[in-house]
Amino acid sequence: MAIVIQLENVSKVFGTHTAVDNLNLQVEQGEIYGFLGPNGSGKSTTLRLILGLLTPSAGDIHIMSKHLLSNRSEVMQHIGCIIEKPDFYNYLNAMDNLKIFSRMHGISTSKYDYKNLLQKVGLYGREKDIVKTYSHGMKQRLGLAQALLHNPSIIILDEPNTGLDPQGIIELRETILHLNQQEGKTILLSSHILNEIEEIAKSMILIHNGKTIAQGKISALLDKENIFVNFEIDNKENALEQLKESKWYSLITAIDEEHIIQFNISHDDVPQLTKWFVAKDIAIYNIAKMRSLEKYFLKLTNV
Amino acid sequence: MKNYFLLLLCCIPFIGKSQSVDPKKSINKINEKFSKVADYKADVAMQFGIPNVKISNINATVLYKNPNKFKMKAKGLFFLPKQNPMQNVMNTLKDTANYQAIYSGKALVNGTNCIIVNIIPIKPMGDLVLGKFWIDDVKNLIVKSEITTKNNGTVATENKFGANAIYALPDEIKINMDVNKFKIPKMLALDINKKKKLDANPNNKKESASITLHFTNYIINQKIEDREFTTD
Amino acid sequence: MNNFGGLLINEFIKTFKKPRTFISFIALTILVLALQYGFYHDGKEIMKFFTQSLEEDFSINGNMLTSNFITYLILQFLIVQMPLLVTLVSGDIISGEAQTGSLRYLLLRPQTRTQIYFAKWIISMFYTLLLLIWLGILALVVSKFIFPNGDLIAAFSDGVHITRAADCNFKFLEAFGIAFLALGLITSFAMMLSAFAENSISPIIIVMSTVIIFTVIGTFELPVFEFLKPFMFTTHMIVWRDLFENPVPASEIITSCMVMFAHIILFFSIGLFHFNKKDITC
Repeated sequence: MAIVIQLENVSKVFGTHTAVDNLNLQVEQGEIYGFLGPNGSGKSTTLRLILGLLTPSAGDIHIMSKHLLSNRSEVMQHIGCIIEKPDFYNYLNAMDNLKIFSRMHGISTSKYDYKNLLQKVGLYGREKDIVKTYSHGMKQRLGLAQALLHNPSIIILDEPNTGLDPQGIIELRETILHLNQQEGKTILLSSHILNEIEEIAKSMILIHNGKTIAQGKISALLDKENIFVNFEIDNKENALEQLKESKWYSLITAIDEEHIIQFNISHDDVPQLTKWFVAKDIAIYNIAKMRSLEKYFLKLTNV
Repeated sequence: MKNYFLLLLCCIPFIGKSQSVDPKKSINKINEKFSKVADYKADVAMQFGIPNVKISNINATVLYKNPNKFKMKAKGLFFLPKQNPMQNVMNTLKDTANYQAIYSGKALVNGTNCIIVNIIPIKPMGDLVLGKFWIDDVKNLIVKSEITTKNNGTVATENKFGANAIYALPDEIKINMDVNKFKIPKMLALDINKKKKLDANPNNKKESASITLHFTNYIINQKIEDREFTTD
Repeated sequence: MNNFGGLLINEFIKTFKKPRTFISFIALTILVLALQYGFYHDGKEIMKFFTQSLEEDFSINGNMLTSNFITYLILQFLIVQMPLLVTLVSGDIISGEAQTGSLRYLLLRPQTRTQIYFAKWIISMFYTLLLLIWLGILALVVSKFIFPNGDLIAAFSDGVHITRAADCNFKFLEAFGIAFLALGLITSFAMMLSAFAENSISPIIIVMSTVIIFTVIGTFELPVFEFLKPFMFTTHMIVWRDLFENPVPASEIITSCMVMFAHIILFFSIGLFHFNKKDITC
């Protein structure tokens, strides 16, 4: 697959603060790429660099094999995005807002099929309402509409779930999957709802303090790591006393105030540890495995 | 009052020489000439030389009707002395019983030999203090005049005559007068950041102003209606 | 030009669909009508005060309280207020979008920042022109209905200069042209500040502070400030008044126009340079 977004040793420094530090990133055409990191990690700064809103202090950015800074006008025809929160001209209605962006992409406002677009994002019928009256969810839909307006091949979504209700999150996820699977669009997605990423992204990068912590296929990243298993037992103090004598003690990652002890072990270790508890006559009420990206994310960033 | 007394003293040396010239006779001849004018209308081009007032020339129409109707009409602003010499000169001389006319010598004015006649009121004549006239005794025309009033100082005129000299109507009148320095209210000037122009007269002394009137197209004795003096 | 026409249409719609845009028109209307009413009511008294020194020696014939005089006075009084009204739009045109965040979405389009800045500048100048035309309609046309036509008597520190009525319309046309240059300077200055600022209040405050400081320094007749005057743009902004001097100091007017034009180019260039280099962090 062709590389459509490529960052090579990109850094961005604001005064004495390095927001992005020597970042390398490659997004393949047609994939959903997850961009993870805690608040202030440099995610938005990186996305702004990719969109030309910020100029890198060092490094190069190529979009569709073209150098961003030298071919920005051409490149921007291929990118649609929601960057941070969707901010529009609040005193205009949704249709006027869309027309403003249409004109900038050279789209004929009289011929364009706005109905189809508005139906796709679920705003049809509300397009004449002043944006000031919109809820955050509706603004997010309008944001998606303006991102899709010029039929870009790359869509960049910066924390698109922020402020959405559960139903909205599900609908957005479906829309993203539809755009990727049915329309073949490449999607670069940052989100603080990491399960969403885990569910829909194929690859990801995790950054912290502007530096890359981990990068690659999500499946591969997870395979490298052990899983987290919570054992709910009847006598925690007794169990801990006995665990001290065993090899399992060093693998404990958390001890709950109630009756749960968490271990960081491999998938194959789960039956052995279970046998060990049984052998020590410690009753097990529940075993819960966690292989989520969220746990992975929290571990790596030490939050 | 002291000044007026001095003025009178100045006139005394000429009284002795006045035996050969009868100033009242000369004045009467002029009055007689002007009395032929029942009314007149003329075009007048005005030029102004007033300190601190920049104003371009303007064309007007002047109307006169005996005995004392006078009007100047123009499409725009124009300035005249408060005591209008066009009216004043003839009005002053009209009633010879009101003043004493004193011959004060001879002078050459613009190539014309003139007798000088001073007029001193002996009856109330408004605020007139002294009238001084340079009279062309051959053509019976007032070539130059200076009228001094209590309130408005001295207004001088120089007259040039042409075809209408037979009516004592001039082709040109040049009015000269001393004026107070014109003060502009600061609020209205609003010369923000303007480089201050040098004041030629910083001591607020009186400055000389002139107004020149060129008369053409006289229409004399064609019975001007009174209403023409009331309409603009 | 990457659909520059579309950009202009957008900027036009954004500017003229914003309620704030019309505050200036309303304020201007109220101001001018109030001044006209005031002069209609008390004009004769004011004129008497104005010419009392002159009328000691002369009888002034003709109407002094003319529509041309009123237009001139309105222009003179409003020259300090107009920058505020102009800045309401030009000071907000970039920083306002930065404040609301829409600038982010604007700059994600194929147009270059130079094109976007230029389009915004053109619309700001167009708004300034409209405001000036509106002032012209109110001051010149409305005054003609209220006051008689006639000569214009204009006061300068060296005396009064009288412009004949027949010359007034053309001179006002020229004066409005120069006033446009002056307000274009303010527009470019405000827009430059708008490119630097992240909120719309700062450019408005800075522009007005600058205009007030320069005007106050210019009004002081202190020798210590004399050398500063040629360098303060407010010195040149009122050069339109010189058109009503007799004779017209043409070289002074041309010099001031060139200085104002140079200011416009300077402010535009600085603003554009910064806008192109600016990191969009809003």
